[in-house]
Amino acid sequence: MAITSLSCPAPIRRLFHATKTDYELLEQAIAAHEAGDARTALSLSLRHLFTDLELGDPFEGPVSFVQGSSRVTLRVEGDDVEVKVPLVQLTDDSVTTAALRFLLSRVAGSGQLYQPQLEGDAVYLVYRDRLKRLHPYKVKEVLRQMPFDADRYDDWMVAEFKCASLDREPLEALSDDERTAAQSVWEVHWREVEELFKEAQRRRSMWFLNELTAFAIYRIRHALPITGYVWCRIDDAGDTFNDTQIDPSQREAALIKCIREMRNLSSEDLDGSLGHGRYALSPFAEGTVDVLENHIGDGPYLDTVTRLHNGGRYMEAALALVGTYHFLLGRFSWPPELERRLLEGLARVSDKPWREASSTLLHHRHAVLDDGEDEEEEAAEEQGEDR
Amino acid sequence: MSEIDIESWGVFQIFTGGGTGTSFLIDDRHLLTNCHVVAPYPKVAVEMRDKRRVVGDVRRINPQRDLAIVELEAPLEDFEVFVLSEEGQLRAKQPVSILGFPVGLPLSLTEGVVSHPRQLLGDQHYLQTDAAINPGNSGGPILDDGHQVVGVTTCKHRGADLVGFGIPSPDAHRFVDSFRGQEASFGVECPACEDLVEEAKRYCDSCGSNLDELGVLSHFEAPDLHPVVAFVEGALTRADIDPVLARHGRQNWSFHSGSAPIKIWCCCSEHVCLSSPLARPGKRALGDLFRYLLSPEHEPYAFDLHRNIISLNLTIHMADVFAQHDHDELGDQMAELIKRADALDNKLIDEMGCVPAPETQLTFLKEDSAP
Repeated sequence: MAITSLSCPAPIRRLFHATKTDYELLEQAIAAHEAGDARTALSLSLRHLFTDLELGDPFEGPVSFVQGSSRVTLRVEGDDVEVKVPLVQLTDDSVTTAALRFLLSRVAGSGQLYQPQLEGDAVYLVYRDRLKRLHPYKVKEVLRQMPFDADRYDDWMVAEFKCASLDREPLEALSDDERTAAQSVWEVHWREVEELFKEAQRRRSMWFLNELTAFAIYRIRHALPITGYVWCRIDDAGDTFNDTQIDPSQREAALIKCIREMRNLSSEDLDGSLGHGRYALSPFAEGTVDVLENHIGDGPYLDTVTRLHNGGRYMEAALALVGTYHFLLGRFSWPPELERRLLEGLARVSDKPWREASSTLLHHRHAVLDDGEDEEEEAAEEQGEDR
Repeated sequence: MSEIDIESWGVFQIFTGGGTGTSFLIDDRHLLTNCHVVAPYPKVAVEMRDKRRVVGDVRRINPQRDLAIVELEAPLEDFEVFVLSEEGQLRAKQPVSILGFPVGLPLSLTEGVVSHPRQLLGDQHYLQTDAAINPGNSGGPILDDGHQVVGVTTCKHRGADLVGFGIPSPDAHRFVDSFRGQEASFGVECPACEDLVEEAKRYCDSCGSNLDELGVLSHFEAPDLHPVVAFVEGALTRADIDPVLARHGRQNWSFHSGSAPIKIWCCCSEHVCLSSPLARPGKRALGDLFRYLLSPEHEPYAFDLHRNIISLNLTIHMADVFAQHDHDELGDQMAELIKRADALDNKLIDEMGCVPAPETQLTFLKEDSAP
């Protein structure tokens, strides 16, 4: 039977609220670095990055913070700075050669400041530099990206190459209710994606395929606290099926393979990849009014969606809008009011027929945009008061 | 053309800090090319068939007609010199061939016909052809059936397929003939009267045109180096590498350090990357090899394995490039990578069971040095 609506359940993942970033601190850090005051530059850089967390003084001793399953340590000794994240431990049972090849071919690379290193059988991501050369931009790049990579690769290497965890930060297990709800979200998601995939094949529309592939990734990313091996598998497959530059037949093949793999995943394996992590730095990008304008503001994309809706192609229009809402929630962190508004939109169209869903969100997006502008005005006023 | 061995033809790729192009021999020491291929550089790199590069001095340019002559230090005796056709009478549908290095590929030949022998574009006439012209072809010869040069490839129409243009051979002929009597080491043809301007001056001695307004004076000034270029080329000089020979387009360098290829480029707005593809892993003892590659002992360098090729890498943050106070130390690090790469490919191959990567010159150099 053809799919007639999309389900938009409430997220089980704990959402990351955007905190106001103080860019003036970054400016001050850069000025201090340029004036040769490396200690002040580092302290200000850390205060800029960790708005809600008191990290401690890195000149008193090593400081640490947690990003999901990764524990990052920053150590300053004289003019030497080291940032280190444990990745995995190789054991006698590990598929060692494959694991090392993976480190060299996927984790190491030109154009990144940190690299994987082997200390005995322990694998770390490491960045070392001189304190006097530690420009605030380097601090930002390393502290943001390195734990993200470690968080992504540690579970993968444990599952794929039988490595052992190394100083891994445990994730908080889901409650029984959350686990049941997550199982349901998972099953509904992949069933609906499979039905939509059949539609994509029937319609032979590149536009539909693009919307579907983004939806396949971002509804999961938004709704579930998914990490580790399973998320890596989806992300890896998404590198093909969600890449609009790749041949459509290759993308379709990667998508259907992923759908089948995920539908066959045991509930134990899914459970093993779910957990609430603590994040000192939001792993999501900062949601801004510009982001809203680019995705749900007036413009060519919304013109197309509106044209599809007005032309009676409600499924395409609704998939695009629902997918865009999930994308906004699954890729960016928002102030609470805006986040609530986006969630409200999804709740209103859950299990509603295509026509009603697209019509509702075509109107609802204006409320989101208005809230976004209000937030921006309030922030500007607050900044004015601060000065 | 099918029976001709194009490798023996005197067509060579030119490299500058702005890009690459094609040039061809008009005698055993001089190459004709486009002005836009060489300008604003007074010296360019000319790549031989064995990938060795030699420095060429830009002797004469005509920015208006887009022509330039490059002089080599030593004559090239093993290549065929091209003859510029004296006939100005081309006709539509006449077959032509284009030689060049499209999109950085090795020497290639494309064929087509004359679409229009004297197409007027702006205030100049061009030979129009449907033979494929791509970036990198600029400055190459357009040949007739008798292998005479009937035009110098210069550009293509951006908004259309198979609409390419060349400078007609009579114009090239006049340019080369004028050069034959040139004594000055460098000169620019006045865009108004085509007389040679041999030094920076405000007005043309012959026609009185304002040379500053016509953009001639800038050709007498050394090009302004972008801070990234100044940083990288300063480091190359410290490593005894001639930056002119290393340039490979905009903020891009490539050269060999002994047998090891070295590439330097800006991968994004944040990083300058140095990388040397050294070898491919062998089939045995890979665990030991990979452990060696992942050892901290190589810092500040690191290895990676991309497409089964082991590369030695160094990443420099733009903040360090613009800060300038540590340029000496960073320059030393770059120089050390260049030096170390030459030794490391041997180590990986001789001691760790690796095989040469396609771009290394290990086999070539070993054969060369054999008795």
